[in-house]
Amino acid sequence: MPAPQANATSRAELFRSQAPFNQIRNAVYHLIQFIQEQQIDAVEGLRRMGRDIARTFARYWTPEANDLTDVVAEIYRTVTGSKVKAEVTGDTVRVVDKKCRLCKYQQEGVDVAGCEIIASLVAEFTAQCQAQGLLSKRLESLGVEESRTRGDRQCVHIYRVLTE
Amino acid sequence: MSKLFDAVINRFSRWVGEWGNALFYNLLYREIFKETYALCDRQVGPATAKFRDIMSGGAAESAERHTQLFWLFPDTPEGAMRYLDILWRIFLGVDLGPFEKVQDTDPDTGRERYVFHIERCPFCGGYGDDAEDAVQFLSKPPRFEGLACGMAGMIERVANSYILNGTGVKVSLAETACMLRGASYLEITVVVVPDAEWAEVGESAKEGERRSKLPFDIAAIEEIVDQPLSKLKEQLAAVIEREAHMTPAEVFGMFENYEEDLVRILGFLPVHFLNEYGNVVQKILQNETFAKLVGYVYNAVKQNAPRFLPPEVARDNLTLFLSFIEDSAPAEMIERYRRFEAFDFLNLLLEGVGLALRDLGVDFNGLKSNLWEELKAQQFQSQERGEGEEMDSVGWLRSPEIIDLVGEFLQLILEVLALPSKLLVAATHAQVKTVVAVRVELLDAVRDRLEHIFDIVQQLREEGNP
Repeated sequence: MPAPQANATSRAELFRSQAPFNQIRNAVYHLIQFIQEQQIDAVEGLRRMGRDIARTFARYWTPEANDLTDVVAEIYRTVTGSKVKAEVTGDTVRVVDKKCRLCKYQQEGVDVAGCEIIASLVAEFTAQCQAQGLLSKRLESLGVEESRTRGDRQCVHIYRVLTE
Repeated sequence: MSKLFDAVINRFSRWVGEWGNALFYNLLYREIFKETYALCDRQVGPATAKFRDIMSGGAAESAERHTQLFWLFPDTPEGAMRYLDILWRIFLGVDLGPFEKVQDTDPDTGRERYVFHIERCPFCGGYGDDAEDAVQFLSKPPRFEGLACGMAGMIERVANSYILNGTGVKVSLAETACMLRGASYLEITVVVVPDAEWAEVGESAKEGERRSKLPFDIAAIEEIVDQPLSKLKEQLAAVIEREAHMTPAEVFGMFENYEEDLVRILGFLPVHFLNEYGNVVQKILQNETFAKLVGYVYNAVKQNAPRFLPPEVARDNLTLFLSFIEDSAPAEMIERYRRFEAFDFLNLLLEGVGLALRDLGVDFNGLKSNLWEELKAQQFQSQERGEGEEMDSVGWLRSPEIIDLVGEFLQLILEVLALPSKLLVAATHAQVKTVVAVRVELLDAVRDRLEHIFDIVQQLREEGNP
């Protein structure tokens, strides 16, 4: 057998590929159930996951835009594959995702949305961009206002704009 | 490897998939493992077992929603494992890459075993380069699985519940060597276990209900088309006896004096047969635009076949049909068929198809005389409404992609209609080279056509059309 190719499945290469999220989306809800069985706050766990994903991801890609709402749309499009609308009102950003990659079906007995991961990921991504000098502001995730998991028609993520 | 099977499965999985960036997938997979590991008190044994459980549960739910995808797979462990690379792509979206497969016997149990050495592991590749890769695998005892165990669990669960269910055997998949633990490849070991012994080996996961399965192996289509007609006739007779519990002679005898109805049924049944599998046809036709499109393509073929199809080619459809039934059907019946005009057989066949399409939702009465009249009417309505208004639900029929789609469907139908001529020519000459050439030409053409149709539909979906 020939020697394995160096970095043949490196993260830089994976970034250039697409993957189907059907199975792993469902797996997130199995994880949520497992967390809740342990009487632990699932939201905090999901947010931690989102932050760690963003920290790793930002080493392989950063958005090209420099306007905050464009950056947000670019992160959603590139990372999750969703085309979203971002509306800014004062220091609040409201993002509507009609085809959220981590929520599609209403989940019986689950009141936590898997896309807490995405909201936290996007906020941490902006923090990484700010740290790299690509953005002057960053976002803080205030959570998931609506979710298809909970029976809503779409997922809505709310952020606060931070300048420091 | 069947190229047709590969193309159909890949496109179908792409069709039903919700796609996102593969690096996001990879990191989400890692994070699910990390959370599970933390919740299992950082004990790798319980963590890998629970992680397998979580990932396989997610895969089973998804498979339950798209069971049709797995009906296409061969339902033997050897057959299913021939397509590990396809399963890999369905789950992970990336190519399996170079691998070696060794088939042998498990020395401890004597069970049939397949060992895969896979050069590239999408989970280990790059793992450890980033600070968030918190779980250190090198320090863990090697008797436990590594990071790819979740994927092994996904494939095992789906293979057992949806591909091998009801066959009397199951497979256990385990990650038996991990690159994060110093192996030079990812090793996946597949052991075939009889159902009766499964409880002592694998998870007692709830079996998915395999509602039904295609009565043929799509992966073997290329081999089937390669065979001489006599062999195909034997196979057809076997299918009739198995499914109808009657001999071919008894079946055809029932239709004596009802020859026209038999041909209509031949057109009617395949459409309903296709629909049996997950109501795919009915679901497509629930969309008003697709229902109209199918209606217009059907009408175009039915009205224009005598204009663009040579009578000899139309006649060959009947000739091929007769070559299948001449040994089984009553002589008078064959004689009545021989008196058919060139296009009679084709027209009756299309009548059957039309009846089935009407059953499943195509409203032929609501259609204009042809597609171009529909487009003109829409253009007029659009002008009436004024510029800038959003298109109605069928307004996108005007898009160039739809015109392409109609063209592709027509080409596909023409290629299928010409199939009997090609097969008869090959069979008449009975030269292996000719038969092979016809097979390659035909299957490549059908595959290319289907690929292009999928591309257009995918493009329409990405543009947000219905």
